[in-house]
Amino acid sequence: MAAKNDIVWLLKGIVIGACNCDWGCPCNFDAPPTYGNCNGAYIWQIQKGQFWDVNLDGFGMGWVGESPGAMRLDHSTTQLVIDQRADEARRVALADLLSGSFGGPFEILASITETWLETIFAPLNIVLDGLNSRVDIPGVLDLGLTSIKNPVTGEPEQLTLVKGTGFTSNNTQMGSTTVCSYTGGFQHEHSGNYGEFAEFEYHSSK
Amino acid sequence: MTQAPTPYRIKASWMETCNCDSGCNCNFGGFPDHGSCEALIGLHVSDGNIGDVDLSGVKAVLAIKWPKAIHEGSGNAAVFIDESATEQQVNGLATILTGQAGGMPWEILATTITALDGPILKPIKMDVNGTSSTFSIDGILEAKLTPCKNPVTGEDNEVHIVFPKGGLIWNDGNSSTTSVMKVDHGTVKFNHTGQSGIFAPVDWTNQK
Repeated sequence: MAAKNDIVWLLKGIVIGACNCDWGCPCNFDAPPTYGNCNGAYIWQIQKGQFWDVNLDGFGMGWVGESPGAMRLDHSTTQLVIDQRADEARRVALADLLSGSFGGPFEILASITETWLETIFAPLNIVLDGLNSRVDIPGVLDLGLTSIKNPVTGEPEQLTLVKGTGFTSNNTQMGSTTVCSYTGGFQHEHSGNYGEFAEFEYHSSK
Repeated sequence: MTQAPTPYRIKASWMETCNCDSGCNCNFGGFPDHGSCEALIGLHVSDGNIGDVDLSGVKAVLAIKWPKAIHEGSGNAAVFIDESATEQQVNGLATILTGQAGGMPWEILATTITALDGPILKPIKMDVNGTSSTFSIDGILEAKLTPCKNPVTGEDNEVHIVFPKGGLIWNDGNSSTTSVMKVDHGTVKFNHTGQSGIFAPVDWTNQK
């Protein structure tokens, strides 16, 4: 096995996120979360993925967390979700990535985590359709995205967050949720609050 | 017979500061995150005209208080135009900003204003410089935009809110915060330093 810093990896796909903030999520603008605390999730559908010699095409993974204040204040509790369909080599690869030990946004998410809950292995049933995408992870998360509606006309709004320094994505479609229910290590219900859909590409530093 | 409004088109730098948290919730569903909307806006026309009046270089500042969301109306506004503008330029820009000449966004925004003070001619200081822009009128108001900072690294964060199909006022807003944001003019009086700032190019016309 190669040394940690020599591991070459690349992931491309779609990341879906949701949290308890109001639409827009002020954390995107370095402002405090709308309701003081943060309850959120990121779900990654890997379309092209390689971690050293392990092919990860088509597999998924998730990060579910809660924090008593802004996430950046380092007191998050985190639960990782790994695709149950992955074989042993892929499970190890996904767990290594999510642990943050190999960099990328996972390193940042790990750095703000104070408490780790037991990792869940579950099927990630993901239907990708922009701001109408669905994520169903039995026993963990039921999430349906939808677009923000104009308060005057009721028409769906197209809104993009373009952030070169964004750590999970740089070009994000901002929306809301039809349903957002956490049923795993966390028990929350945030339907109608913030949701997002973005393409991502992460890779090792080499 | 109704007279057709004088055609206009202006391109300008829009420097918006308000009482919302950075990012300004009103962009994402219309409702301000602290109940009311209290805004100071600097406007620098880089290029444009109304009829045969050239508006290039004209500077204006809007100070507005809405008791609730903007679209719920009852706004109380003061419009300042730099005293170096000619009478024709003042009248032309005021005609646009009060919605009388039609065109977006002012034909909509004007309907949300119930009390209007101005145009008031004052010397306006304005430095158009993206998310580090500043504008002020001595003794009345001052606003300084400053970039968002990554809370972990302290580095500047450039964060754009983009409406791919076009927004009401602007299409691509460079989101920031403020190091100063205050006004004291009659009933329009507030200080919201440290809240939302947005710098955006605008391009408005009443022509198709």
